[in-house]
Amino acid sequence: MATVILDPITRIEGHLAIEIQTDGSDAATDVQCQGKMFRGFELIMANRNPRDAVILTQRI
Amino acid sequence: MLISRRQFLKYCSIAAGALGLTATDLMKLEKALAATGGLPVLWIAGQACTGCTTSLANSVYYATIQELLLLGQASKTLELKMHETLMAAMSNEATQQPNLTTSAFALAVEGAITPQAGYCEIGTYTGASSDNMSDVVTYLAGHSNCAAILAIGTCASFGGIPAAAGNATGAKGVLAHLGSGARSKIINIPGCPPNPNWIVGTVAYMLANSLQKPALDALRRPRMYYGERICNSCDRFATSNSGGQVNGFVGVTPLSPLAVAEPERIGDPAQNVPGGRCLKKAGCKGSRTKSDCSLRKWQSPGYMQVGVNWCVGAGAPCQGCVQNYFPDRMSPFHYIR
Repeated sequence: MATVILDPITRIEGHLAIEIQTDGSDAATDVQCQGKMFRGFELIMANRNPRDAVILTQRI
Repeated sequence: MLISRRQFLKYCSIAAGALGLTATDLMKLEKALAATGGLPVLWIAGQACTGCTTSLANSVYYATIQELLLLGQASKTLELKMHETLMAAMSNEATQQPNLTTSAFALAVEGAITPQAGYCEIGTYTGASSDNMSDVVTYLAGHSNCAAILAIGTCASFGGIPAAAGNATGAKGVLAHLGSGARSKIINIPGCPPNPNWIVGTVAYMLANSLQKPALDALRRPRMYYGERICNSCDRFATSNSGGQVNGFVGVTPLSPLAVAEPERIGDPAQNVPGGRCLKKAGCKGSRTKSDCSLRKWQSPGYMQVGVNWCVGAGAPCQGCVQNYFPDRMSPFHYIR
């Protein structure tokens, strides 16, 4: 039983990490991935001039 | 990067006036860009959309992105030693390269920094199992080999959209995160995204001047790129005081949810208004915005060539994205009449 952690995954937009559990013989038994960045665009959009959304959300 | 004398003179005439650079500056720049062994740049991204990277990948004016990335080539200008989105290595191979910090480097930060643990983790730079962006910035910025800190984009410079009202992460820019002790090391290159020439040109300037920073304004932006108000050289400025302004975007109706500009009022040279009409009443923030967009323009088609177009040239009001109070105090971006 071993754990392989790949963090960061490069060549993608954003921050991603992958955690692989192996059974000790190169076979993966479980894989989990995590998006590791949060900005909360939904919260920023609240109570804002709706016409601004097109300018702001294009930057997600 | 070798150019003929004829080409060089051509560049001078096109570029020098537009950029406020003297011929001597241009020659120094050329020398720096042709030199091998550029300044290593460690580029790390926090709460970013990678738009600044996309913009950098569009670099053509001083050097193409291939030239920036071809390590060990004679044409090498800046050495992007670490760049999550562009590098082939991943995981610890990327973040724990043995020579990452062994020589003088410039730290480029893209995206805002949240002080809250767990909201932005970017890998293992300091030896912890996974580092928060804020810890990595503190670690690399405080490193004795860190020659300069480039805050790339409005998020890294001033907080930008992640720091807009209502955000839950407490996002802030590099200067706000590191505190005034690091102020002398920081160069802000804001923009959403910044023009690739502003990024490459700033590093090239430092290479040409033994790592001296270019002259900076109060917001720590290079004056050579952010010195003049956009209106000063805007093609549409001629109509700003003569009643020829665009009156704002046509109102929104339930059946047509998108605000549509009246094409004949936005204007173009065909409407007998060279450059088109002033967009101030449509929401243009040019009068409050300092950058050389109106001269330099965007999507430069080739080496030392002025860009193809820019926001205002395309009929879109300036959003003021290079200013420190973008986006909250630049809102609303469009005025509807």
